[in-house]
Amino acid sequence: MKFTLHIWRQPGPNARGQMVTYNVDDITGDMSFLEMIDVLNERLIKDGVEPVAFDHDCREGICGSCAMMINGLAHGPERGATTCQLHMRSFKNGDNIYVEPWRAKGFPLLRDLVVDRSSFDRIIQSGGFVNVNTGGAPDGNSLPIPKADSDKAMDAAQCIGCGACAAACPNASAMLFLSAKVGHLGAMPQGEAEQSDRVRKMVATHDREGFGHCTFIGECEAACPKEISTEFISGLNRDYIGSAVKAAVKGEARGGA
Amino acid sequence: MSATSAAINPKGPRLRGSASNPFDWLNTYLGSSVGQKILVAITGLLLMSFAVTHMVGNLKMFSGPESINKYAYFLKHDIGAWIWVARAGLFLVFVLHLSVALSLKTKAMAARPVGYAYNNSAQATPQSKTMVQTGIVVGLFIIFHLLHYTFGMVHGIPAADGKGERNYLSLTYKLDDGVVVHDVYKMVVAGFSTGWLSAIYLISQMVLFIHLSHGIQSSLQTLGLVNRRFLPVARLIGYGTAGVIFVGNVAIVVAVWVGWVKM
Amino acid sequence: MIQLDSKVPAGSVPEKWTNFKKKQQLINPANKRKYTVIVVGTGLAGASAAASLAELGYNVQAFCFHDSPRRAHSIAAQGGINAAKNYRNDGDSVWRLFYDTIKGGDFRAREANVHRLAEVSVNIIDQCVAQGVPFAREYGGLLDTRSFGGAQLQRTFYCRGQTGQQLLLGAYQALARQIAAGNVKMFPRTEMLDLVTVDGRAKGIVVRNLISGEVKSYAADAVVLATGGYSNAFYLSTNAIGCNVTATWRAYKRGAAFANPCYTQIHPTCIPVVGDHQSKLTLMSESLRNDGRVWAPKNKADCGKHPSEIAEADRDYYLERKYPSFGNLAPRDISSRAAKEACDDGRGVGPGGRGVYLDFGAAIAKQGKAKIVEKYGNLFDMYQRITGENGYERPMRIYPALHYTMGGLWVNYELMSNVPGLFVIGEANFSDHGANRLGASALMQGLADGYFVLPYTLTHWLAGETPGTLPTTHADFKRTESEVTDRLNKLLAAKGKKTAVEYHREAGKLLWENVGMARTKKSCEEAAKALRQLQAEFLHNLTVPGSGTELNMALERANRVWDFLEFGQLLAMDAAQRDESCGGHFRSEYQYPDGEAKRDDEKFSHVAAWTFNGPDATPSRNVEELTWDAVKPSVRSYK
Repeated sequence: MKFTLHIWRQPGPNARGQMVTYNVDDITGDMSFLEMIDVLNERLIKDGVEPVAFDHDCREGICGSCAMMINGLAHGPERGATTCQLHMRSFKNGDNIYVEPWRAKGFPLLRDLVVDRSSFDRIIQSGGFVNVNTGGAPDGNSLPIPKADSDKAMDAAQCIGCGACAAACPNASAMLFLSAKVGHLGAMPQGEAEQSDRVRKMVATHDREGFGHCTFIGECEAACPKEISTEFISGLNRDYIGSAVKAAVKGEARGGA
Repeated sequence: MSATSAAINPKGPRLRGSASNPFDWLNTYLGSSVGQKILVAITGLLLMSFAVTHMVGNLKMFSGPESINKYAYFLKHDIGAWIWVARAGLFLVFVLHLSVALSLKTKAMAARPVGYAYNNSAQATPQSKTMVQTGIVVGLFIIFHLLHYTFGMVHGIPAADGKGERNYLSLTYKLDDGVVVHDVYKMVVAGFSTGWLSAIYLISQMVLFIHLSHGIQSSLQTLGLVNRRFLPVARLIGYGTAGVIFVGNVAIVVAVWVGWVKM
Repeated sequence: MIQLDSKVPAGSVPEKWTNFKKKQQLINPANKRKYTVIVVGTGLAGASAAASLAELGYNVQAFCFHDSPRRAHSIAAQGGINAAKNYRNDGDSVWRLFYDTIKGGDFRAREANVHRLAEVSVNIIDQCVAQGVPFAREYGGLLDTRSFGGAQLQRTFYCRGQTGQQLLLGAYQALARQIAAGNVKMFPRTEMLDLVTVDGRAKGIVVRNLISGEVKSYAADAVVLATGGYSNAFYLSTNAIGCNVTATWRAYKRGAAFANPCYTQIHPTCIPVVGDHQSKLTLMSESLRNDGRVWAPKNKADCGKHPSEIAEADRDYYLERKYPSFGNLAPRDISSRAAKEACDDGRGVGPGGRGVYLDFGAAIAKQGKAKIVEKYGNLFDMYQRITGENGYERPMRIYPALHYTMGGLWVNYELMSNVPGLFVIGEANFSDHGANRLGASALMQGLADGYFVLPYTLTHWLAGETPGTLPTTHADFKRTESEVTDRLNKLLAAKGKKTAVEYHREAGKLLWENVGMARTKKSCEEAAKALRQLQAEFLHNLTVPGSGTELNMALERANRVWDFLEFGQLLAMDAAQRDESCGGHFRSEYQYPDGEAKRDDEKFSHVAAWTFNGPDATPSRNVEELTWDAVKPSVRSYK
C-alpha cells in the first residue's frame, strides 16, 4: 500500500512548525500506524534527516504514550483503539493522511508530535488518590464492595491518561480524564470519604492547567481508547454540586487545602 | 521544560470557612469551569421553562381574541408589581446565561491556542458545536421580538384612515366584561401577516430549536441528572421540549399565514 | 572473584524475615529527612518504593524516561497478582505459595527471599484494596480470585485483564500524593545513563534530560534501581519499545554483579510474528489457557487448511497429551517449548509456520459465548484488532515470545547489590524467580520489594551510614558526566549507513535464534561471537541524525542498542556456561529422552553473578551457592 502523509514538523517548543508531506510505500495492512511511521523514520534517518518525534512505548494500547491526531480524529478512525493499535488496513491504498500533535494549552508542544502532558500528572497530584500510607491496611475482605460498584469503578479506572479526550474536545476540556479518576475513586468506599474535597481540588487544577469546560459534545467519549462514558462527567458534576453544598453548610472543608 | 513536575499549587485552591467569608466559597465553586457550566445549565433550563410557558400562553391565540387579550390583561394588570419582579428575574437569568456562557467560551478558545489543520468530528452533533452561535442568534431574536411586540418599534399596522401607520400598542379591545385592553390578538395577526416578519420568526424558531435540542440534554447532564442508561431519555426530553416549543410557536405564524387565525 | 555475601538472616526459613525485622536498625523520624534516596524507574517496584520511602520521611528523588511515571511497562501486565490469602479455602498458605514459587523457579532461587515474598504477598492485596484498586469481586462483595499459569489453587487476584495497570495506577497515585506533599521530587523524561561510584560506593547517578539533552548528576545516600528487565535484547519481545538494559548495564560496568542473565522467560500465548516490519509482539493473558485448548494439526498436510476443516481426530492437543494433570495450564517454559517442538516438527500454522491454535470452541459450547465474552472479551478484541481474525469463530493463533527476564543485578537478602548503596528491586534484580517465573508473580514481587521489603532493608542499611550527599562537583561525578557525554558524542559522530534499529533487529535475531527457547553451547558461543563483531562494526557503520542538545529519540535508541549489543554477549556467555537445563534456560544437550529438561543440581545449584573486568577483558563468573534448608530440589515434573 502507498500513502501520502502530511505530518506536523516543529523542531522545538518555540520554533515555527508546518505540515510536511511525505510519501510512503511498501506498507502492509498488518502494520500498525506507528510501524508505518517507523518505516518512514528509518528512511529519514538514512537520508540524514531527523526522524519524526512521537511518543510511544508499550504498543499494545495500555501505556497511553502514543498520541496522534489522525485526519482530525484523536488516535485515528478506529473506535476504542490507541494509535499503536490502529492498523493500516483501516485505510485505503493511496489515502492522504494528516497527522498532527494534540492541540491544547494544557499540552504544550515539545517537538513534532510530542507534547508535554505533565498537566495530567498535576491533576492527579491535586487529589487523584486515597490518603493511605503503606502498611496498616485492614484485610482486603474486611469491607465488602458491591460488585456493581466495583465494576463501575473499574470502568472508569481503565483510563490510560493519553489525553485524547482533551485533544478531541472542541473546548479542549480534559473533563473526561478528570471524571474518570473521580468516578473511579468515588465509586469505592475507600475513596468516597475524600470525594468532596477531591472534586474541588482536581477541578481547580484542571482549570488552572488551561483546559476548557465541558459542554457534553461527546467527542471525548468517541476518541477515548477505553471508551469511557461521559456519564462519569455527569457524576463528577453531581459530586461537585454535593461538594459545594457541603462546603456551604459545614463551613470548613475537610482536610483544608 | 518538564524536567521537574513544577506544580505551583498542586493541591487546588484553599477553601476557608464559608461562614467567615462567603466570597471564598463563591470564588472557588462558581469560579470554576464546572461551577460556571452548572450556572449556565440552571439558567438555561429556567429560560427554557419560560419559553414553554410563553408558548403555551401564545396558544390562546387559537381560542380567539377574547381569550388571549384577557390573558395578557391578567399578566399586565392583575398580578400587579409581580410582573416586574418576574421581568427583572428573567432579565437577570438571561444576562447570567449569556455572560457566563460567553466567558466560558472565551476561556475554551484560549484553551486551544493553535487549532488543527484538519478538522473532523467523530460523533459531535452540529448543534453541540454551535451553541454560542445559535445562542447569539436567539439573543438577538429576543431583542428583536421585544422591539417588535413589546415596544412596537419595528412595524405598525396601517391606520384606519389609510394615512401612515398606527403603533401596535394603540390597538384596543373591549373584553366581555367591558374593560378596554390592549389588543394583543390583532397585533399578532398584523405582525405575522407581514412576510418578512414571519420569515424572521420562523428562522429564529428554527435556531432556537437547534439551540435547545443540545442545550436541554446537555444541561441535564451538567446537573448530574443523567447516567448512561438515562441518556436516551435525556435526549428525548431535549428534542421533545425543543420540538414542542418550535411547533407551538410556529403554529401561530403558520396559522396566521394560511388564514386560520385572522383579524 | 568477589565474595558474594547473601546476608540471609539466621533461623529457619519461615522465621528469617521475622528475625531480620527483630534486629533491624531504625532511624529517628527527624533524621530520615537528612537522607536522600534516588529511585530510578517508576514501575510497580519503583513507584511503590518511592512512595513508601517518602511516607517514611526520606527525601526521595524519582526518575523515569517516560513523560509520566504512570507509563512504565508494569502497566501492561494483564493476568493478575498472587497472594497466599486462602480466601477460597482451597488449601493455600504462605508455605505453599513459597514452595510453588521455588519449584516454579526450578530450584534456582534463594529460599529466604522467596519465603519473604510469600509472606508479604498477603499485605500487598490489603494495601492495594486500601488504595482503591478495583479488584474483581464476587456478587457478595468479596474479592474474587482465579487460578493462573501453573497453579492448582485459585490464589490470583485480578482487575479484568488490566491488573498491572490498576496496581501501577495505585502505586502511581501513592507517588503522586507524595509528590504533592513535596516529599518526592519527580523527574520525568529523564533517563539514567550512568551510576556514580565513589570509592566503590554508589553515590549518585548521571542523567540526560530527554527534552533539553542536558547531562546532569544527582547525588544521594542510596540509589535504588527499579529499571525492569532486558527482554528487548531480543528485539522482538512483549516489552515496551522503551524497555532497556542501560541502567543495570551501566551499574554492572561500575562494579555491580549481573546474576543469571541467561534466565529469560518465553511466554507461550503471544500473537505470532507477521513480518519484518514488526516492532513488538503482543502478549495475550495466560488466563486464556484456563478455558482455551492448545493444539496443532497432527498431519503436516493440514497446516494450510482452515482450522474448522481439520477433524477432531486430526488435532493434537499436545499439552493435554504430554502433561495430563496440568494440561493446558502447564508452566510457561514447558508450554512454550512444546509449541516450538510442534512447529519445528513442521506442524505450525499461520505465516511462516510459526504458530499453534488456541481453541475456545469447546469452552464456548460448554459455557456459552456470553460467559467467554465476559471473561476474555478484551483479549478477543485485541486479537481481532491485531490480526483481523475473529477468535470466537476460528481458533486464535499463538506462538511463544520473550516476555520476562528472571536474571538481573545480583542483590543480597536486603536487596542491595555488591556495590554498597546500590539497591535493586523488581524485575531489575535476580532474586525471587529462579530460572523461571510463575504467572502472576511479577506484580507480586515488584510490589513486595517496593512496599514491604525495601522500606525495611534500606532503613536498616542507611542507619549505619552518616547522612549527607556529596556535591555533584566532586571529581568522580564530573568524570562520570564527561564519560557519558563522550559516549553520546561518539554516537552522534557516527555517520555510517545503518540505523540503530537495524542493529537492534539484527542482534535480537541472533539471540532469538541461538539463545532463545532452546540453546546449545555452540549456538551460544556463536551468538556471543557474532554480537562481538556486530558491536565492533556498530560505531563505524551507524548513523544518528540530529544533535545531543534537543529531543532526539534516534540518539536515545542508539545509546540503548549499544548497551544491548554488549549485554547480549554476557547473556550468551552465561547461557553457554550453564551446562544444564533449568526453567527458562533450556540447553538442548541436557534433556531426558522424552524431551524434559535435565537439571544438574550437583554442579549448578548456584547463582552465577558476573562482574566486569574492563572493556576487552572476559568478565568473571562469581558463584553464590544456593542452600536448601526448607525444601529439597526435586525433578520439576508437571505430568
